[in-house]
Amino acid sequence: MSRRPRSILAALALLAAAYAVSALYVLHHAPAKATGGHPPVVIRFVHWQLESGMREAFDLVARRYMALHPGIRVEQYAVPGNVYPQWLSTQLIGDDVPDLISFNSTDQSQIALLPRHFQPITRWLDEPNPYNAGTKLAGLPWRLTFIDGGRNRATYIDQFRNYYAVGLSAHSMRMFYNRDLLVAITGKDEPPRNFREWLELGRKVRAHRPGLVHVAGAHDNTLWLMPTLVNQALARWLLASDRELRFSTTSFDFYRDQLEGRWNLRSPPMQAALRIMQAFGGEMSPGFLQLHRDSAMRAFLRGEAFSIPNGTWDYPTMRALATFRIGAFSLPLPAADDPDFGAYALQPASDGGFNSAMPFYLTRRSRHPEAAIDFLRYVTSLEGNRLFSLASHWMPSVEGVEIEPELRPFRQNGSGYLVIDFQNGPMLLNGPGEEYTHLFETNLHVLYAPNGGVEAYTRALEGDFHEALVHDLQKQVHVQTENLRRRDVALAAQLHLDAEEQAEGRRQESALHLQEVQLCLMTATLARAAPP
Amino acid sequence: MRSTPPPRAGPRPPGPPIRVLLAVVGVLAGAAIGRAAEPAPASAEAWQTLSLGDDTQAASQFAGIGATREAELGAALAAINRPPVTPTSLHDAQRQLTELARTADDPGHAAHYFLGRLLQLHPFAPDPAAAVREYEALVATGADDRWCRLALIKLVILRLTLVPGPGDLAARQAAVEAALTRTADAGTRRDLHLVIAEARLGDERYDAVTLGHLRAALAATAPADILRPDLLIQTGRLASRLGDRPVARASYAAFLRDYPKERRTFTVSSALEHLDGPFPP
Repeated sequence: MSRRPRSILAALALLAAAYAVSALYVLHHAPAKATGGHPPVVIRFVHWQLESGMREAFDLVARRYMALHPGIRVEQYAVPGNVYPQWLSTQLIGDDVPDLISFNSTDQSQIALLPRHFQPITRWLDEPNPYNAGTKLAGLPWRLTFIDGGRNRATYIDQFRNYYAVGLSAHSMRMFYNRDLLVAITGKDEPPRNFREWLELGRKVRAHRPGLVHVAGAHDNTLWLMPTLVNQALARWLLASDRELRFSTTSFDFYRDQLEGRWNLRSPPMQAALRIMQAFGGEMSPGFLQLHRDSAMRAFLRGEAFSIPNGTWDYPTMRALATFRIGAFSLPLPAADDPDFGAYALQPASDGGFNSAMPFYLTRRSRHPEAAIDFLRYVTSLEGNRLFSLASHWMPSVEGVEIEPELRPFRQNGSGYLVIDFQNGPMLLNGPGEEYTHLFETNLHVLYAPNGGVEAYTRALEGDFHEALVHDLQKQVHVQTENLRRRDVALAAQLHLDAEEQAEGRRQESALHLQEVQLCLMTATLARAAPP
Repeated sequence: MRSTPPPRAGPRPPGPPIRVLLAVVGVLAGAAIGRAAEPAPASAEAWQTLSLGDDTQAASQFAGIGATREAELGAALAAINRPPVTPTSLHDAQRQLTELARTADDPGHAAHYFLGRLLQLHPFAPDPAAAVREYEALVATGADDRWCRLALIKLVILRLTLVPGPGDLAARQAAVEAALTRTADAGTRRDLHLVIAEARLGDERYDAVTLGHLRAALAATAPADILRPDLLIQTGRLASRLGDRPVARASYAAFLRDYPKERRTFTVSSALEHLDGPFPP
């Protein structure tokens, strides 16, 4: 036989083998097989959590759920985060979208499109979770079984006055540290109690071993933690901007004050904020603003750095890779009597309250919405959420689920002062938009340069500060006006639907009126403030 | 049920084909009457599409329904946001709304209201003063229907913020307060109290008038309403500022009792604890 016919035969054999494998796969997954003649209900969910142990944790709860419901098959899709947005957009446009989608966005224009792709789940959340029967959560509306009452910026969409998702987990930002190293340096495993003690610890760390870095800094990690630290350190001052007396200062409140000349970059609280930022960054690896968080993580895991600011979502990965014991603490605030940093803090400070994370949304095109919701009920029941938390080493999102001792330092602290709006609060560093954020971030090197500092950074910001602020606020007003115009029409349309939709439309209108008042007040302020 | 008429002399009664025809006509007439009472399925589908923000698809669905005023209103509303939004597309929406607004029925009033909204929220050339004139004209009809009530609230918002009315501050305040007398609808009155209080607080007018509006809004707000926690805190803080400690205490206590998991619980507890002294401590 010549070489050519042999290769054709080989190709045919390969084709036949592929066909046979496919046929076997299809037969194995044939709907009738699972339920003795009845096609199973298939629930598909998708997420981007590829951290160590996450897929296994999802599999575990899915298997347990399928054991309880032999007629239902739950399928997990894990899509890498770097392609997730594009993948999701494609799926949402197509007809073959999974039933449950993990999705998170603070982008107003994306949030405006939520109702097009996802169903409100308020009616289910108002009912008890049947999987909590016989427990201390029995009879409670499902939403009240979550640590945050089921309500946060991802699960409850203010502008639609509806719940759209439930969170499966909870997260916090913490300073993770090498416990073995802390004992070696200080003789005890006790994290610092205030900002000065933390700075003092840094001096000891650097003296302990040449080249040892106090904090493995990176651009992302630093910019996640620093705004929270600064906001907490300035809470007393930020409360003064709370014009509407809600204990909930908004970005609009705070920046209206700026446009009306009540503060500027040289105001004492702002200067204190910049001093805190300078001190914080001074503890980081040299050149941290240019480093990716993976580099910081490697430095920490290799023992080249004592600590790393990070989200608790990375804990399972760090735990799996570290050769030392890992501890965690909240970055301590300056003491009230600290002359450089402490005048504006309100202590104790809240982390922002308890919040669930990793929200899952029910798609409008779900073929089995009741079953999909039932699966979510199970994963967020006392039993299901405990299983998930134990397997994933992520914090539970459900009230009363026992937290593993090693996860307890991650527990969000809600027992403290909170005076800014959790969804739309001011951020000194990541201000009202990209121009402002760009201005602060691109000049940060001036704050940390040997010949720089607070005065040099202030001077670098001052020239473009007003223009950047006005530009970003005008853009926000524009985006919110667009959303308002869309919501107006959508609400008018809802009035032509059934009684439930009509009632919901009327409920949403009241919140929209209040949003419009704020929008008009900001528009009036901007009209007076621009041009500079 | 109608009885069968007795046989009578004269022309032959209609034969079976005519009876069938009459029956069909009757069924069709009945269906038409039914449709007048509730939205036709096609119409409901189009409104559903529009409520989800798919303006292009909704426009196409409304176009397929036929020339009813409801469908014309739907098409005009879909034209407001249908991409691409251009000066021409908005002008077209405005023309359709103007045409509809010539008749003083429900779609006409809706169109009139949205003419005002389009002027106020126009992406290229917003004209809040012109919007005020539209809202005033609609409110002046005295209809007190849903669209007039909405126009009344939007009118008050603009008068309190971007387009102050004529006269001095007292005259402008009186004009805004008078809006409350122009509707008998409890929900609209609640919303008027809400927006008046919000605008006054935004301007830091921390006085008894603002407290009165907050308390009126609170009294008309159901326990499950999502706005109630805010109203309780606002009432408590303003009452505290004005030295009305009983009201402040009651408001804070109600908040702590009804919303124990709210993220501001610690702050409110502290405010209650320091009611007799400076806050924050």
